[in-house]
Amino acid sequence: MENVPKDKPQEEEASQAVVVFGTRWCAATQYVRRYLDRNDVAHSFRDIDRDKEAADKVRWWTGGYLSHPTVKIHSDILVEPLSNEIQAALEKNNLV
Amino acid sequence: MAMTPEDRMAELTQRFGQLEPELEASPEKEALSILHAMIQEVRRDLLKGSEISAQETSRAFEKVANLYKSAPGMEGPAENPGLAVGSQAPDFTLLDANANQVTLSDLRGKNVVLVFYPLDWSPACSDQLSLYQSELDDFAKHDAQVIGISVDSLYSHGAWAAVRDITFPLLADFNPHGEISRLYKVMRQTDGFSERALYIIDRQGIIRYSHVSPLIHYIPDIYELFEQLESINQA
Repeated sequence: MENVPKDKPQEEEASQAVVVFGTRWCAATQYVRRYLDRNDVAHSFRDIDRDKEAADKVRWWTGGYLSHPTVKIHSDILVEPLSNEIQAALEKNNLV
Repeated sequence: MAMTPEDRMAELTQRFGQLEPELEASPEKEALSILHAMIQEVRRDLLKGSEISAQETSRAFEKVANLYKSAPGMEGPAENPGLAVGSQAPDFTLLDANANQVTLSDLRGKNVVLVFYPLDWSPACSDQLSLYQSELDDFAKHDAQVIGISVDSLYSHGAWAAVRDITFPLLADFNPHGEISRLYKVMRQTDGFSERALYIIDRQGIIRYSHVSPLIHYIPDIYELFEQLESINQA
């Protein structure tokens, strides 16, 4: 699933259990998205290069850094997570 | 009704996110943001599930394996255009990490994903090849062989592949230095290593996809790669 539409970003995002904030050119962002794909975890992607609101969120969550990927799994905010950290968060939130 | 801890955290997280646009930039706002980031790092430690690989490896190996994280980054615009789609992929023979000769034309009959990358041990390159390693099953489903090429020696390739668990061939464009990179029009004369570039070569040896990263730290979009492979296989 691609970027959340800008007209209702917060409402849409609230309904998405997993949101990946990152860039299309970042290997780590691509890795996380594909990891979720392979594990059949529904998720959306917010491109922080093109979506200022998404970039502002990431900076807000990370103390000002535009860290990518930043992965929101329900209320857990994972900054540049390893795959075992993603897996643990998915299991904790009953998404796998 | 009493909220569960998870529901409470979800509500607090949502309210925190909603506050951001309402606050003017200030030291106080920055302090709140930093505090949030610190809390997430603490939660990150609590969330860790699987055994960390460092527990199973020596400290020295872990240090080497993670060197790329603190290595100086590479930046800068592309200097070369690469070869055009539709052209015949130039044949070559290079050594892999085990000193085996690998000849491109021997791979006729399969799609080849030819990955030119600047250098072993560097940050973006480490992530890019690990990404492809994790996707090898999907590349195989698309009848595609992934091959990496850089100007590093076969000894560097061997060590790096061992540390990063890379199992697809890494070829040494070492001597003459960058000869194949020049053949494929991706050699950065100013730096002495290649562009970050990627070619998809079809079963007949024709270039069907050509990508030179506009900035050297940009990794080609893997979704686009698979779309291209699907398109080639359906043709």
